Amino acid sequence: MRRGRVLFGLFLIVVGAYAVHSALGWSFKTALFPLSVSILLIILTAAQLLLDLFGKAETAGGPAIDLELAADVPPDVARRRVIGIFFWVVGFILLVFLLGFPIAVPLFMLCYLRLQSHESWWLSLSLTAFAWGFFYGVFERLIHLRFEDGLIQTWLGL
Amino acid sequence: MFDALIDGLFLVLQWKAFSLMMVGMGVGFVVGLLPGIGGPATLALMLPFIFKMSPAEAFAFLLGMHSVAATTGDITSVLFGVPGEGLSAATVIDGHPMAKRGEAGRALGAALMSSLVGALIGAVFLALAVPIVRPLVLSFGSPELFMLSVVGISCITSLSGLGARGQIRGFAMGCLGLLVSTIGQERQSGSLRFDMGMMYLWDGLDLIPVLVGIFAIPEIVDLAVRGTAIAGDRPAEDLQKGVIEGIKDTFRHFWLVFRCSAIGVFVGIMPGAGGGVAQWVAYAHAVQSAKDAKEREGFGKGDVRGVLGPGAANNSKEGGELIPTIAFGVPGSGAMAILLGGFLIMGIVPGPDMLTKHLAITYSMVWTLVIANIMCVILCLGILNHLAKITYVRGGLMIPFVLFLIFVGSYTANGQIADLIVTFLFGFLGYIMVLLGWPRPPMVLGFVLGKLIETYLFISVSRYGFSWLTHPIVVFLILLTALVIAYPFIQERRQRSRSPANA
Amino acid sequence: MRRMSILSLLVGFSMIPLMVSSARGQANFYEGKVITLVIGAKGAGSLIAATQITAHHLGKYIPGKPAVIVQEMPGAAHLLATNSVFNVAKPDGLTILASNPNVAVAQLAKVEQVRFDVRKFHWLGSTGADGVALSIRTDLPYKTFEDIRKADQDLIVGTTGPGSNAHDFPLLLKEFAGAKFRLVSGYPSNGDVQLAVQRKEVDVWAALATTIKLAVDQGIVRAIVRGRVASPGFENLPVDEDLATSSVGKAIMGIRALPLAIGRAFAAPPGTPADRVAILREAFAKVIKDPEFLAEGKKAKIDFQYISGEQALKDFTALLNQTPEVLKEMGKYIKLEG
Repeated sequence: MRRGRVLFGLFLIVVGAYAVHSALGWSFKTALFPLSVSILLIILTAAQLLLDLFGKAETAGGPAIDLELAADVPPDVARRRVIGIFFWVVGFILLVFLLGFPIAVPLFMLCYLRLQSHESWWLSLSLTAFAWGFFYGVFERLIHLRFEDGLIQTWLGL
Repeated sequence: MFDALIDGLFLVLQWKAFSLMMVGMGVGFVVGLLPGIGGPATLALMLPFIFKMSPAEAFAFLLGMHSVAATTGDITSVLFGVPGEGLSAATVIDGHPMAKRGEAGRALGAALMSSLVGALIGAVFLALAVPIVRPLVLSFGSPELFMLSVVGISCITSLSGLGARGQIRGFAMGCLGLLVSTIGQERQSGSLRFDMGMMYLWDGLDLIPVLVGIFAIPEIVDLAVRGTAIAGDRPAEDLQKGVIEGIKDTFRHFWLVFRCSAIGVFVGIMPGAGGGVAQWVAYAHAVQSAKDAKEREGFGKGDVRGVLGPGAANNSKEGGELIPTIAFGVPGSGAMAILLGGFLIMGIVPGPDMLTKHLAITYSMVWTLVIANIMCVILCLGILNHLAKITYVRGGLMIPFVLFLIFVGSYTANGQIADLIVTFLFGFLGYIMVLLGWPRPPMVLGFVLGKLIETYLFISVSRYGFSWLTHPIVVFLILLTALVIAYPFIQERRQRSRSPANA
Repeated sequence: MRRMSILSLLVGFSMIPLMVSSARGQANFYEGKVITLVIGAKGAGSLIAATQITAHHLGKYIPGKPAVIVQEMPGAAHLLATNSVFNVAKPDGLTILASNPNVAVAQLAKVEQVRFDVRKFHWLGSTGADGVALSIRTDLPYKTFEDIRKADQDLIVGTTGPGSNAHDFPLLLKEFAGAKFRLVSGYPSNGDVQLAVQRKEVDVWAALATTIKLAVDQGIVRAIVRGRVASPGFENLPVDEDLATSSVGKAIMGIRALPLAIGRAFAAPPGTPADRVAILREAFAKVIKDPEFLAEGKKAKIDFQYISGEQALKDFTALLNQTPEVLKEMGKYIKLEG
């Protein structure tokens, strides 16, 4: 946890430094706001890093007023699942890029339901059909939204 | 004024207008459930249909759709952790954890009821404020708007953990949000900042892909990790009772709901303040109502007040936002901009006429807000129980659906495939932030307010030099800022001085 | 001789089934389809309203009566939409760009991200030009441009940023006509500038004539100067180009004015089959005479006039044909829209 915090802090400092570096090349007015904000970011993050590395353990009012992830799953299982879900997400985006939404959506659903959730063929197919129907009905017919073609369709000249 | 009030009511109650409102509500209901496609994008697509309608009918349709979407957006926020509209993001923070605890019914009931109360209070304000609206808005110039944004940013102290490190992290995230908001073209000189050579970034990052990513993706990851249904492995709650509990909560904390509605209306009235701010200020205010440090920590983990505040503010601001749109032609948000487009097509010119000659039409809009919201809540109450049951469906079945909602929703905001990448990147960032305990709300606040702060600061200095610091309203707002910043610390000190007496 | 004429008659007659079938072929093409008008803006504005009204009636004049919808693709001051229709959209006659001709100025200024050539679009026609007008708050004593030249202190002009009409028009008047202006830019939209006028934070405001006219009618501002295009109600105002004191200034103002003269032009992407382009051109020419179309335009206070696609192409070509000195000067004053 501490190592993660330190890494993230360093990441923020790098972001701030990049911002400062870019801003120095701009005119005064353009640079003023980003420069002040990024310098402040660097200072605050540095302070946080120092406190984390050398200060006492965190005491009062520690946790953020924000979500807390589930803690009741063993860490290695959790890590595996996290990596897994991120791969699925990236996969979905890739599918959309390559094939366009109308094909990617049912394809992804089918794959996920079968391969990851190990649902039965019957359930997977009917849920996919439902999702595709919903998608088609609401987005294409009702709202006439235009979905870009995927790269593969463009390459094949479809 | 009262005849216009009655005339306005009758305009809405006519057959055609009323049925069009119902149709609008139906569309709005579906649309609000889908992230990204809420509000502006769909309103734009609906515009062609209003050509044949009279103004009262057209606005019954558009407003019916819009006000319902604002309410149902909360439903996906609670059930899936996916902001149904960019503006329902704050509801996710406490609403979804409640669903994860098996309290989905309660959260939904609270969200809906507070939305209704908020909408009603907003409508009342709108109706009553008609005579003073013009002088009120005209007295808020660029310096005042700048200070107002500063007050908004100062809410960060209430959104961060107490203690030095919590506050530092909160402000650091605020700075990050402000920095991210500077991406794109700078308004004063037209130069591009941080665009990395991509035209996509010229106008900066769009709110919806960022919000949907940063809030929804960590939830999905959490769901995948737990391997259970959203509500975990517990037995189904008594859903009927849950919803009623949520409704009772609204009245238990009525003054909080009232105050948050007032906040929503006020922020809505300010032209250009943007819809994203109201919910966070209301959320920060709800946090401030926590009585001690321990209660405060309960926020973000499922405190019903975290649902009530933003729920009320979101709907009351709709009423508030109509004011600058109708009276001045300055839209307060994307949805209002579309409405304004509808005005132009109808040949209605926003301006003082709307508050005098065409007052009945203005009031018909107020009535639409009221009636549509009431009907929506009544209709929803019936199905809330069934909706809440979704939280008991296997995670493995829900995840692909929610992912589909997330990405299609994010894409439909602007029709840009690149938005998907933004959603993913901010989703990853959001996950890391949640993992390491860096708070997300301050970053979102910085992002939403960044452009306003910079723009109005520059205009103020350009126009007035530094004399604006002495304008009366500005002075008042500076004091208010100081108060908002100090509030959590004052509260804590009062707590500590009180407890030795109790012990 | 007679055999020739009989032969030609026969040939002519035999063409009829071909023509009918090709017309029916076209009718078959557009039937049941949806035409998308892509516009590079979102929200409110006379351009969007005009496009919506056009979409409402265009389908009537295309064989097959397709549905016509408007798709908003905002970004980079219409550049995103223009790039997209030029490069990405299928040239099948189903995607039409509702353009803002200012993008041609971006091409002229060799902006990096421009990936189109306005001369290669198939221009289908324009529903009318909109002029620019500069206005001043009614409670100020200045009534003519001469008054503004002789003003004892600078007048505050509110603008939405370089590249917009609100910014460039007064800027050029200041640089080349001696107006006593101080520009305060950065207002998010024209509505905000108008609000600032009413708050007395700002004295002068320039925008599209249609927009200014609405404010004039409400008594908020008084129009003082106009651009080259004469909009109804503003015909008698002095034109900025006439007030310019140097020829370079006049040329730059002219560059700025040309796109506005082209107005709300529609284009099909290069590669669209010629017969579909012809159908679309004809449809635009006809819809502009449609009484319902004109009535809705009147309601929205938009003045519809027909400008042919050929004229638009001519104007664009003229615009892109500038001398190097003018280009150099122009770079100082004209940047891209915010």
